Amino acid sequence: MRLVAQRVLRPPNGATGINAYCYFHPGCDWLDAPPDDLGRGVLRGKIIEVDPPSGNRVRSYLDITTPDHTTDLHITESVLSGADLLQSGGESLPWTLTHLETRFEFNLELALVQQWELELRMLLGYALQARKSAQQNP
Amino acid sequence: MTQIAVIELRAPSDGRSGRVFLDRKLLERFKLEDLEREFEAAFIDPEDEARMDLIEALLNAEQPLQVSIFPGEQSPPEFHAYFRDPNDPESRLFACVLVSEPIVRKLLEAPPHMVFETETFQIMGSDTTSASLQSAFEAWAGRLWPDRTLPKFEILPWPIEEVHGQPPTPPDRPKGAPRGAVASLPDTDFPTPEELSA
Repeated sequence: MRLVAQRVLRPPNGATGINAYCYFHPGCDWLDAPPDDLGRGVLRGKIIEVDPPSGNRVRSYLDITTPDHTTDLHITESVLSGADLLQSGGESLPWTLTHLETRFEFNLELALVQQWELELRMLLGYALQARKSAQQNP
Repeated sequence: MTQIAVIELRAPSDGRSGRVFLDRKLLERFKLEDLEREFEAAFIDPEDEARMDLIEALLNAEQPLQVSIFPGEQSPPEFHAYFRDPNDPESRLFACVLVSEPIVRKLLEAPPHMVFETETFQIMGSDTTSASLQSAFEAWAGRLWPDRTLPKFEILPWPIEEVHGQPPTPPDRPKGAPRGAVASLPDTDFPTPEELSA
């Protein structure tokens, strides 16, 4: 499963918001790091605040790759504890961390960096909501 | 596209303030006094008075008040803000709806082509970052209680507390900002139109 949430800005009219997507990988599973040849998967869920969702400038993003059956709680703990670890270690952006079968990448522009914790939580919220929309509309 | 006019209004009786967003074409038909009268009439539903009393009691808190924010069902979403009672962490007390400008534009397309900020309805810009949500919530509280010192509000974005079943513990001190942030990300928007239409 790949969960993507992006805060985007539409240059023509300045519209801004978060678009989020859930891609499933039916039949794929792994026990360690996500395989390199996983591919993007099948788009099953989406939240579109800025429409059309292409051609926009990305201000921040969270990109999570994990098996389809991973629970929301596990995803949340992996991302938040991973971010804490990277922050306390003084890692430079973009942040990428793989822990067991889950990998995430997070980045945001300079104007948002002082509020990175809230931004990360919002993006995570949207990503999980996109997954919920996929589960509600199989 | 509708040209929007924004007018600051103040209720003559109690000083509470708010804005009206309306189609500019309507400016010729309404006097300021008419708008202020409608604003005051629409400001609070009598059934909400008891809830407002509960909120006022919470505002006496000397510690920061936690505010949970959840998105509504629409896209783009409106945001529903709830106070969390420090004495009863399981309960939520509805505060207001934060509505971004794109939604207001949609509302203005239908009669009466005007939207008032009220006791439960706060309009914000199109930027829905957490900082903007915080700012909009503070603006809402400032409108309703213009003469009192308000506590600090801690905004809890959704749905982390739902996932954990309890609110996140606020850090003892803000964590430092990550290094290496750049002014503009090189990343492109994610799905292609072809993917979305597949």
